[in-house]
Amino acid sequence: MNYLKSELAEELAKRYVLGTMSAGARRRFNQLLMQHRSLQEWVWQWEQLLNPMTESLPEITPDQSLWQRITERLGWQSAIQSASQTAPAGRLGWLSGWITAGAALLVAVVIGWQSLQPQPSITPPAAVNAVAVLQTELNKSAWLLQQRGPKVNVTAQQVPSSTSAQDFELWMLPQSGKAPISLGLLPKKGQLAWLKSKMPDELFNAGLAVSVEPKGGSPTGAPTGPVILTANWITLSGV
Amino acid sequence: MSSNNEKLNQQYLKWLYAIAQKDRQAFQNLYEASAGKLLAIACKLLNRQDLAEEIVQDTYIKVWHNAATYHTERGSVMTWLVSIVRNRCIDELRHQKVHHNHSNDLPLPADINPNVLETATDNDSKLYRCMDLLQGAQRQTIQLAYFYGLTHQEIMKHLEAPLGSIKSWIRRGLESLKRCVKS
Repeated sequence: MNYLKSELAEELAKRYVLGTMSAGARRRFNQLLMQHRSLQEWVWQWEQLLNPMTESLPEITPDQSLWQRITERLGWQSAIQSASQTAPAGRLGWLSGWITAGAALLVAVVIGWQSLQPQPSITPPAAVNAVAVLQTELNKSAWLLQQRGPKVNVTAQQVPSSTSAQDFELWMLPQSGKAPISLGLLPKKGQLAWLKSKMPDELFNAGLAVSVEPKGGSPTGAPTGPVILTANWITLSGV
Repeated sequence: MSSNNEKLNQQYLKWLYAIAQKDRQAFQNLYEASAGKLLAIACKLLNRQDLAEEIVQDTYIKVWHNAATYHTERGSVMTWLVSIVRNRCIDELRHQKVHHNHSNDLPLPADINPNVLETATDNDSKLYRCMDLLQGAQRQTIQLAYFYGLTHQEIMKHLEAPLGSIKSWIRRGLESLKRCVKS
């Protein structure tokens, strides 16, 4: 089928923008949008035509908590920052050499290490429940993900080289075969924390992939650059 | 675009440029100016405030990270924001099958000949005048798809009309709308 034929392209764009496409058709169309600029332009035209319809909807004032949740996810809330500090960056950093030797070894080391730690007198940091090691083809651990209590900590390790105009974006690959879901941009150095409650429910049963994207992340909501690695979670206890 | 909307868009553009430079105050300004509308759109499509809030939250996170990817070719800043929210909501509807929540909320087939859009009667934009010129069935089917995210099949069941008629009403309605708005 020639998707660039203008009549067909416009018809598909119309259905996409109006919202009448099935899940499968939307998924396929999203892939086509990544490939064909002319399709994107048809979509933009129909968005500009139809979206003003929403002007008629009475606004719903969001609860203050919505803004707070957004700033928490962006790491602007002091509570989140201090929480990050209680789970020091690189706590498992010394394991990085072992990580590259294999995920199974990592699991054993993490469990063993945790069991040897003396109990602190203050509230202990939550145990690591799941780990994912994002390894490049060269068997180097590029990022380490650890689900720990309410957070998913992301630690940059031997991150592949990139230009200042590029970012690395992490994607969840649902078991159902649905389209990849963006989890956010990966740090090029240091550590950041995401709130587990804000992540998709099926995250720990899903695969992971990292793509190279323009600075700021994929402009389309789907991977647009090369996928440099895939990985799976290793569950240590209930998540 | 009316002059008021044009001024508003210029203001949104300034904020978006500043957000691309990681200006938090500009981000908060844009949020405060637009979140009520985006939440209304998501609530209408999903009929679930908790899910709608999640999607609005995701949208602003995306705006913070991707402000620099906006281009005026995509339309006004609000058009861009609305598209992000609607696409996420429609994906959610298709994947999570949450549309059944609308069962008590959809316009009834008996309301198929309203004079104007269900949601407002005082909007004088060209789009609204053009919507008003559509046949009732054309307007109703377009609204069911756009505001409630129904597929052709779902509209067919809701209106108890043949699938061919549904597709035809939408196709002709959209063609008329495009001609009218561009005239």
